[in-house]
Amino acid sequence: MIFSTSLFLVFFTIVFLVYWFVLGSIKNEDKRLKARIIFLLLASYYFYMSWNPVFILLILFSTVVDYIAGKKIHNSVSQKQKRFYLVISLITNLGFLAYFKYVNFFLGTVNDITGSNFFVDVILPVGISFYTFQSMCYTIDIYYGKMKPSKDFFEFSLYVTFFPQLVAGPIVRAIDFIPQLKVNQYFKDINFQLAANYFLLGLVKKVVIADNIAQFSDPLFANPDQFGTLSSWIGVTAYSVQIYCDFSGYSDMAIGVAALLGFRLMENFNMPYNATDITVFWRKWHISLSSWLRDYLFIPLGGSRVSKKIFYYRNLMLTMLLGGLWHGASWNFVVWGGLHGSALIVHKLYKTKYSDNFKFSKIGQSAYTVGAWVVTMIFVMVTWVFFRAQTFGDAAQVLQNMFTFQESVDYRIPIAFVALLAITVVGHFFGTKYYQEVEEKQHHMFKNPYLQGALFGLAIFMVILFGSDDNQAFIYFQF
Amino acid sequence: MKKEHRLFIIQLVIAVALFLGLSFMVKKAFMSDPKAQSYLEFNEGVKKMASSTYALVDSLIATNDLTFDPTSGKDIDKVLNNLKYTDNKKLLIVGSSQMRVVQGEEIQDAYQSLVSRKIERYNSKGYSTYNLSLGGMTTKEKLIMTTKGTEIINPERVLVSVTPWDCLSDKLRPSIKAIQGKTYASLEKTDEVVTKEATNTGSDEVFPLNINSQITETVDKIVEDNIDIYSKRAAIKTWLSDKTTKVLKGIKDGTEATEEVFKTNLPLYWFTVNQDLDNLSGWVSETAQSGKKSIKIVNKDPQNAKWLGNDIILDTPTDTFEFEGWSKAENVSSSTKLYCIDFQVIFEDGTSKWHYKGLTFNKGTHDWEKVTTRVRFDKKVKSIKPHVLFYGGTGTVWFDQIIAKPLYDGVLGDNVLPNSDFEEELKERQNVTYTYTTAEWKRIEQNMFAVVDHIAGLATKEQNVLLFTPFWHHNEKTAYPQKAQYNNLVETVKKYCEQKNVAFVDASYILTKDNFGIYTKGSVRDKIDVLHFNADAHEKLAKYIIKELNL
Repeated sequence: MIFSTSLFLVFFTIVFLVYWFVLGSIKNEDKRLKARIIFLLLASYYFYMSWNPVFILLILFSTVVDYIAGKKIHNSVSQKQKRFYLVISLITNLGFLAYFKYVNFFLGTVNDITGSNFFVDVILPVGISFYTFQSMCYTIDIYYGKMKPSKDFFEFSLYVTFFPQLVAGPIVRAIDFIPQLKVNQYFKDINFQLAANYFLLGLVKKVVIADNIAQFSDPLFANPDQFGTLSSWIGVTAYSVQIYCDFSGYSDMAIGVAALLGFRLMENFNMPYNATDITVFWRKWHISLSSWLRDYLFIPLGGSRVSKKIFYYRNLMLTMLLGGLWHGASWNFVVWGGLHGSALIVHKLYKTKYSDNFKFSKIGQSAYTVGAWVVTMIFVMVTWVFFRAQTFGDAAQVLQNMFTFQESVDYRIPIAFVALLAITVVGHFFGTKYYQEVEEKQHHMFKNPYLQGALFGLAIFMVILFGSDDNQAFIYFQF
Repeated sequence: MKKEHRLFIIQLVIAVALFLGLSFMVKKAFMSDPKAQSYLEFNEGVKKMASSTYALVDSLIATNDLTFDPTSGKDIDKVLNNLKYTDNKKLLIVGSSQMRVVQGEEIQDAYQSLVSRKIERYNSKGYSTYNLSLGGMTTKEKLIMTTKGTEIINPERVLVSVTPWDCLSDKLRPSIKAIQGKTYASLEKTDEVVTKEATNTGSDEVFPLNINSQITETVDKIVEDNIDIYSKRAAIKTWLSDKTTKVLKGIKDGTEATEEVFKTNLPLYWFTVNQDLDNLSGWVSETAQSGKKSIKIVNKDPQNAKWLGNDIILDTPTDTFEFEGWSKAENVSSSTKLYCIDFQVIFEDGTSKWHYKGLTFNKGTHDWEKVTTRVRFDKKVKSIKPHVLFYGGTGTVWFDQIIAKPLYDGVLGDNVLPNSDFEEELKERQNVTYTYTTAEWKRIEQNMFAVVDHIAGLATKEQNVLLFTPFWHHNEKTAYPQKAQYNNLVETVKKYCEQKNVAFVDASYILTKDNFGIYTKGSVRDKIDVLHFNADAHEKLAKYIIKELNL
């Protein structure tokens, strides 16, 4: 079930009305809270089963294992016992992930080396990477004593399956979300402005920009050898816009939908294409994943507090390589992660050795910032080629098109491409000027409420008139 | 009511008012255009076609008769699982979209017009055809589909269609890759009700989710019926796009652009490689021997720079030509290897030769200088390809009036090169063409050999077949403008088929322009579709195949 479909509109309307008005009429506070949790859990299961009913069993199994493991870890007296239950949890979660997501990648690599033809007929359960990470961090946090286990199975189950962010994030931490389930929400407290702002913004990003601009990137990656230099740059730029608007659009809609039910999800993107270096880019892109990797992989590996710098860079590289692999079972994603890991290392080295030595005039500083932004963006765009291309060969062909002059069949820059790019650029670079931070500085909204209202109207108009005719699935569903 | 909620209600009022206002304005502007009706009709046609595609797949699955896949390979697994059983002889056809697209027709009616259906109807030997044709299958994909199709239906014969276009790429789509290692039950007579149950064990059986699609349809219909701008949105989007394009063209040209003309700022026919200028900047007005324009090469470093055109096929082959051309030079280095006009001529027997003798210009700096020569080859020439070269030197050169005139019985014919004076601009492309480098032609040939090897090795009862499918063949613009290379490919592959005992059917030129349609959507909208043909053409092709194979 996709947020941008009429089916979701009906589903959510029913959920909203029952949640606030039917269950909200229960007088007893505890019973109301319990009823709402169970109802949202059932709604979340239905939401997931709309895609494939069988795989709900997988989520259920992981939920049961992690719920029990969490309790066992907490109640264990010895460190050895704690570790044992943590390992059970990790093996279960990573085992499922390895089998469903990586088995054919592994077999494909073996086939390439040995010439064999092994293949397992397996479907990748939608959102498995997201809910697995979410479920895992619950047991890890309990292991490190950061939180106590949930006493209520339904409460924990809802944390794992909460439908607004179940299939494509943001990845929520138990430590942030479970406390929200312990307090009764009130209709009067809903921040409708914020919810509408996020949902409509996400909808425009997805159906107006991402789905429409895909027409300029899809053909390039389908037949890269038939494109020239100009059209390849257009295609790669289009994909850079598409992936941002598609993914951040989903996150925005998830935040909006959750807000209408009284929940707060973390901001997942913060104008990443404004970044003037790769480190800042990763602070702004897919924040819930990058912070997850930082807290549960990079820091446990030793992080930056290591005896030698080289170990710091190793940790950084390992984190990015695994982060790349998290996105998909292909060497292309590993290369993508590796390139970003290398860039982060280079940036750290550069910052340490040179950056602080520069003294610029005001104009010089502006020129330096613009230059740094251009370099960062070109790097990010080039690496998206590996992210999007189906094979290394295709990626190499696209890069060759981009960086050596290739005849273009057509020298036109499509008007629709320019328009969609312009909307993104204007929103991305100038939108921030009109934003204010709200809700403990976690979310943003327009300062001027009347302008906000006008933008709601404009968003609805654009979605209805310019929304893509196809209901395309979100790119990150596949991860 | 909280202040924030009151404010939100005000925001909603503003939003609705703005939405209605914008909708009213856009719709009014659209409806006042005299062409609005045609946009609406076009929109209806597209919608009908889109829905009929899915309706068609569903109805074919329901009757267990799904033998082709109009969904670009998305449902190929489903297709393979739904191949029907027949007592007839079985002909497995594997090809690209040409074999499943009926250009210019509605898909539902078109299904019966497909070449596979026509073969089934017209042949006298009781063949059932199985058309496993997807959009743009590459060689690798064809080999996989041939293997899978043969495993399942155990056909008497296999026919694989090929074109240069689909034998160029080595791509493998994930949907086809995914079926590579899978095993499908082969069709035995006892399997009369083929795996229909197996394929329907999807979500509907386990969990009653069909209500979801009913909800979607109902809501979409309510929205469609009640929000006027929503139901007309595709038409309005196309209209807006056309309007914007026209306005921008008008601003750029300083004139009111018409729909028929689209300027490219590129010279017709000629293109340049290996130099500092491109097709845009190398076509200049700064100097010209005649008219206003010429072509230019700037070599800052010694490069093998040139301008060239495509092959020109002669209506009547001849052995004598008169070539001429003009050039102007500035600081052309003495180390320059070639600064000349050079013609690549292809003889009737397929061999070729380069000719630049008598067509070399002086180095250094000079104003417009003419070269001319008459040459008699020892064999008749069937096509020529012009090049103007500036190899291995530095400096700047301009060329103009590049002319090639054939002689027939001592009488000089007309110049055969298009846009010799470089005055003519490339207008809107009328069709899509496929031009390849020598290396690409080689790869195409190798891929075709791979297909021949593969089908020669299949354990079928009768001889398998390789088919060269038809394309739009027109003297000036054609799907494959390098006719010499194309014909050479046909001959080579034909010989290879003979060696491998594979039947060869060449249908390249059996159709006429009328058989090809116009793209109605996408980036090539309004262009001639040079590879897909209409129902009449499918019928012609089916009859041709039946005749050639004695089916």
